[in-house]
Parts: sequence; C-alpha cells; structure tokens
Amino acid sequence: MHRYSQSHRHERVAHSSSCPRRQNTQRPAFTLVELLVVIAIIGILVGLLLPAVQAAREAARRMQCSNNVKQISLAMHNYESAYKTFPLAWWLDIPGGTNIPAANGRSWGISILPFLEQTNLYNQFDQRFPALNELGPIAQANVQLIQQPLSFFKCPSSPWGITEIYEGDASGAGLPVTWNAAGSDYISTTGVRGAFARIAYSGSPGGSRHGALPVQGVFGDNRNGKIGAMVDGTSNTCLIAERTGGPRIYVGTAPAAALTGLLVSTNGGGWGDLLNGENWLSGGLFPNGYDPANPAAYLQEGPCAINCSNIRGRSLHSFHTGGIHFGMGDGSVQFVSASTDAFVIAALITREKGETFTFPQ
Amino acid sequence: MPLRKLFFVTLLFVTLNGCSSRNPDWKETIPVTGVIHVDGEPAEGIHIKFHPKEGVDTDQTTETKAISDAEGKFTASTYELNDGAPVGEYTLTFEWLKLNPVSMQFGDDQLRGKYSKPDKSEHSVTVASGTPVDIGTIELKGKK
Repeated sequence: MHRYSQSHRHERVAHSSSCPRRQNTQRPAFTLVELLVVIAIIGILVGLLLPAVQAAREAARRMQCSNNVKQISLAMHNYESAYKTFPLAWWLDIPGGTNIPAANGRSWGISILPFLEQTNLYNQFDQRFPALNELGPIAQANVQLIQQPLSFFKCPSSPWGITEIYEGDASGAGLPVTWNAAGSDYISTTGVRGAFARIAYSGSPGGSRHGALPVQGVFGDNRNGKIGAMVDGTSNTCLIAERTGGPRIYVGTAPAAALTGLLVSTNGGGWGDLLNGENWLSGGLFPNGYDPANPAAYLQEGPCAINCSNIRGRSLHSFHTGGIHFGMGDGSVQFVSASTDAFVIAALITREKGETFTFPQ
Repeated sequence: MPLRKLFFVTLLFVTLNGCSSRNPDWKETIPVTGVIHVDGEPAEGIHIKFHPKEGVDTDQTTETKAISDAEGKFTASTYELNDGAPVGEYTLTFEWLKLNPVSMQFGDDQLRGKYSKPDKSEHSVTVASGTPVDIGTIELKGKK
C-alpha cells in the first residue's frame, strides 16, 4: 500500500515537473500596451519603407530601359561591323515617285533584328516588299511580322501593353498605304530643325543638322552611314533616343486621347513602322498640364525637346523622372536631363555641326 | 482661432505657389490674346507669328506664336501653352496652314503667303510689363 502510494506520488511529481509553469510560476509575456506600441512602430517603419520600395521599382525599370538602349545601340554597331555602314533609319523607294504598288522600304528596327538574336523573325521578311497592307499578299505577310511584340523595344516604365497593335495610315499625306504594327519606345534621331533649331542655335541654324543614321526617304537624302560621318565624334552624337508611348500619345505623362485619335496612325510608334525612323526634331512647348479643349495647340513647335509630349517630330519622351536615355555613337548610354540647354540637346543629335559643348553631368 | 486660419492661409499660399513650375531663367511673359476673322468669319488653324521688331535676341532666343481655335481665338505661347509673349514690340504675320502628318511640318498656306512677310505686315502689337494685351479682332481677306 505504502509502496504503491509512493510510486503514485512520484508519478505525479514527474508529471508536474514536465510542465512546471502551469500552476505555480507566472509566464513572462507582453502586455497589451507593449504590443500596441510595437505594432505602431512597425507600422511607421513600413510606412517609411513602402515609398522607398516604389522608388526602387522605378529605378529598376529605368535600369532595364537603359539596358534596352544599350543592346539596340550595340546591335547597330554590330550591323556596322557587318556592312561597314550604320543601318538606314528608314528608306522608302517609290519608282517614278508615284508607282506605289512597286514601292519598297524598311525601318532600322527591321534591319537590326539579326543582331538582336531575332534572325528567325528577320528571315521571314520578304525583302522585296515593304510591310504595307495595300501591296499584295507578300507585303501583308510582312505586316503580320511587324506585329510581333519584342520586349527589347519596350521600356518597362512606359504604360502601354506590349501586345497592343495600332493601325498606321499615311493617306493624310497623300500616300494611300496602311499598316499595323506592334509598339516601340525607341527611335532614331534624324536631326534638328524648325523652331527648336532656331532657339538652340540663337537664331542662326545654318549648316548640316543631320543626325547619325543615314536616311533615304521622301524628305531628302543623307546616305552616308559610315562611322566617320560622325564628325563631331561618336561620344558626342547619339544613335537612338527614347520616345516612349508606342501606340498612344501623351502630353507630359498625361494620356491625350484626342491627340491619339488625331496622330497615332502617323506617329511612328512601332519598331517595324517606317515612320519610326523619321524624327526631325522641331521642339514643342513645355508641358503645363493637358487641356483636351484645343489638342491642335500641342502641335506647335517650340523650345522643349525632352518629355514635353511623345508627338513625333516635336519631342523626345520617357516616363522616367527628369530625363531620357540617349544611346550614343560610342556604345554608351547617357541619361540626359529634361532641363538641359537646347543647344546641348541639339549638339548631341547632330553629327557634323561642329558644336563645342560640355556634356551635362 | 486666428492662428489656425493663418496656418491654412499659409498652406494655401504655399500650395498655389508650388503649382507654378516656371524655370527661373525664363523671361517674363505677358498674356496676349485676340481673334482672327477671314472674310468676316472666325478662322481655325491660322498660325500667328510674333516677330520682335528689334530682331532676334541671340542671348536668350525665344519664339512666340499662336494657333487660332474653332472660334478664331488665339493666345500667344512662348515657353508653355498660352503663357504669353515677352515684353517688346512685335510685327505679326499670319498663315493658314495644314499639318502634313508624315513630315510633321505645316504648309500649304491657304492665304497664299499674303500675310506671311514681316516687312509687309500691317499688324503689330506692343507688349508692356504687367498688362495683359487683347489685340481684338483682326480681319484678313482670303479670297483673291
């Protein structure tokens, strides 16, 4: 009996020692107030951190965008190595000036595809025809090809969807041709002219104001695509620049639906679009908001060349804060601020104007 | 609560000032407005150019221009849309242009260059500091 009770007590002791705090010791714990204070502090820290994370996202997108500019510039240099000339920014050959069914043409975006590891896509192009809907079934097959979305032509900061297709139409300029294309955020720079050239060169914009890439189009020729034609120096002349937005028109960063309706068919927003190579820059007005009442007023030429709008021929454009990327003739990528002096921007675009300038730091 | 009122007035002032993002290097611009009629009717798409009478400022080159809207009204723009013109005297020229959407250049003057030469222009405007200018209605002849 005694033995039994002792062993029973022993068992009880052993049992209680396995979880001793339940009955006789107080468990150390946080009070409600302490918990609330900790939660509040964590909340404040997360509140501080979140905007920083968003800024980091834009920084990452900008870096990806700058990488695209670099890849495209290098592809142009590889093209130059292969053919001893830079690709034509665009060319359009209409026999006799009027024989549109026999026309042929191309933009730089198609020419450099083999150097961007898109040889398969490039080989499907029938080089005897342009990518235009009106020129028969082979040309229409080419139109199908320029609707291929290509990620290295898309800046991640730019809000349009990569599969968006727009319809191009040159009939407003007397050329009865249409095409459908996937977007691009990068353009070749053709040169500077108009109000922007007069403002940049203090009223006397004489001399050659051509950009780096050769052009053979309906608005004058400039066929010298040798690397030596960049007389100002390859590190002082750009090959490509950002004009983001692809199939949509923006004034500053505000979507401008009325302008999109007016201009999208000729804004050259696609990598296979002939007009993507035609970018004589004549400047625009600085953005102070978008007023949809008078969209035509945004077509005026002016002193602003970066981030005013993405209207072709009026401004270069990006969704990065404060500037855009230029792909330079030496293969480098430069981020140029929107507040850069007009003279410096013009000097970066022209290849043989002989400007002396300090690169904006 | 006068202190609170003062705070809100200050806040409002700061907010309103914050909206204007003008570059400090820019010249002062004075609003210049007017209306264009061709043969007595309001004309849309007339390009008005402001030629400074003392010649182009080579130090700080600007260009002032305007496009008339559907009611023939126009407001001069120099740096930003409808910001006006810098102080000075200007000769005005007028062209009725269409945009070529492929070359992105304006051309094909429907007034046939009749009002496009600054040395033959009969229209001028004087812009003085601090006073917005209303040119009034400008009558042009289109036919013949």
